[in-house]
Amino acid sequence: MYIAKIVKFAYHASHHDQIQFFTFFCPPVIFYLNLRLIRHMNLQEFQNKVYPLKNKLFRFAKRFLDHTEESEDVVQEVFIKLWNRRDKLDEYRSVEALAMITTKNLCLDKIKAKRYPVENMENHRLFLENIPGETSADYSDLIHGIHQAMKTLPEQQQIIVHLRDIEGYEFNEIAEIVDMNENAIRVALSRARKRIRELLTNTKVYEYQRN
Amino acid sequence: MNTKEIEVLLEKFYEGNTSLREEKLLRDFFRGQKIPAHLKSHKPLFVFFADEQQQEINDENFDVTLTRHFSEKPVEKQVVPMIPKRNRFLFITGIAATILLLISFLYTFQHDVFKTEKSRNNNYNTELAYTEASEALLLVSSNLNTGLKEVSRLQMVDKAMKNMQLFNKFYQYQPIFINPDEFQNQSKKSK
Repeated sequence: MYIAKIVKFAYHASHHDQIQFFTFFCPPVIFYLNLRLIRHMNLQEFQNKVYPLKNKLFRFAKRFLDHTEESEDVVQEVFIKLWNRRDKLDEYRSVEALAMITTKNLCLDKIKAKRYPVENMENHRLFLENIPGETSADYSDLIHGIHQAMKTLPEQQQIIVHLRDIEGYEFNEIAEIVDMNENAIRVALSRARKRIRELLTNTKVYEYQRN
Repeated sequence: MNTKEIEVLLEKFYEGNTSLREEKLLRDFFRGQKIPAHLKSHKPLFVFFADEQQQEINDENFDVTLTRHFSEKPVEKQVVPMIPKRNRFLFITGIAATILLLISFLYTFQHDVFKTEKSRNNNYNTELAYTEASEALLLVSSNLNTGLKEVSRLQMVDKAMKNMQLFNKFYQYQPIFINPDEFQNQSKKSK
């Protein structure tokens, strides 16, 4: 009965020019919007959007853990978590920031639990041969020195230096990941860079003295 | 690039005020071989950054295992419904909301929508309405005139009412005639 009445309404309304638009175009639009909310991520879409982040996440995890296999496992776990949450990924402003935050939290959990073996940093593989210019092994010692210097920094500064100088993020993106003010991030960055420089010059002086 | 410009950029770099483009300039400069001696101490930092950027996952089967893991699950365990459980409520409420909107809309603009033929024609036949109304009013007035004769008898009631008012006066002064002493006592007390 009611449906018949509604159809009657609609039929009468169709003779009216102004109301015609609302009665016949609004319901489809509302239905479309509802369907948009319900739609969730495809596997193909997930592969295109989230898989390319794997190396970034790997590097970020390795910054915390200093262990290649462990950090690969962490990246896998992060992907599985994102996949389980795939129907809500569209709601977040950027998937990349979300992935970064989840890796950070997972790594911090792992560090707290201390459930992974320590890798010897002497075996840390260098990629100097890929960099044009001086390929001599003189830098390997210095780079290990910088690694050690990075470890001495506070955690937040390590993260900020990593995101800015190695991954090349903008300040607003870093702010989203670290949950800090942009000015505070600038201050932390400058402190960290200066600290690394100081530590480097100290080691150099020490080496010269020894020679 | 001048060495002076590089020095300025380095200062900005250590203050944390460089933009991404300026940092790229610095990186490109330190990748080259023509570096003055007093700036060489800064090179290892940028070499370190470049080195770190090239670290990647070595496992070639990384993607394949993940996709296998993702694609296996729904086929075996979950029968994926057309609308997922979480959003089913939203879907139904959406439909209900649209229907409600339609109904409420049509109720509010009911009078605009139903300009039926009857109501439209009434507007145009004003003359007919005028003549019909005047005829009806004439009928009413003629009937009223016949009734007026009967109404004139009501004047008898008025005459009777004047006589009745005499009774009223009698009841006013009755207590004084019957018991004048009491009346005087009451007036003294009130004073």
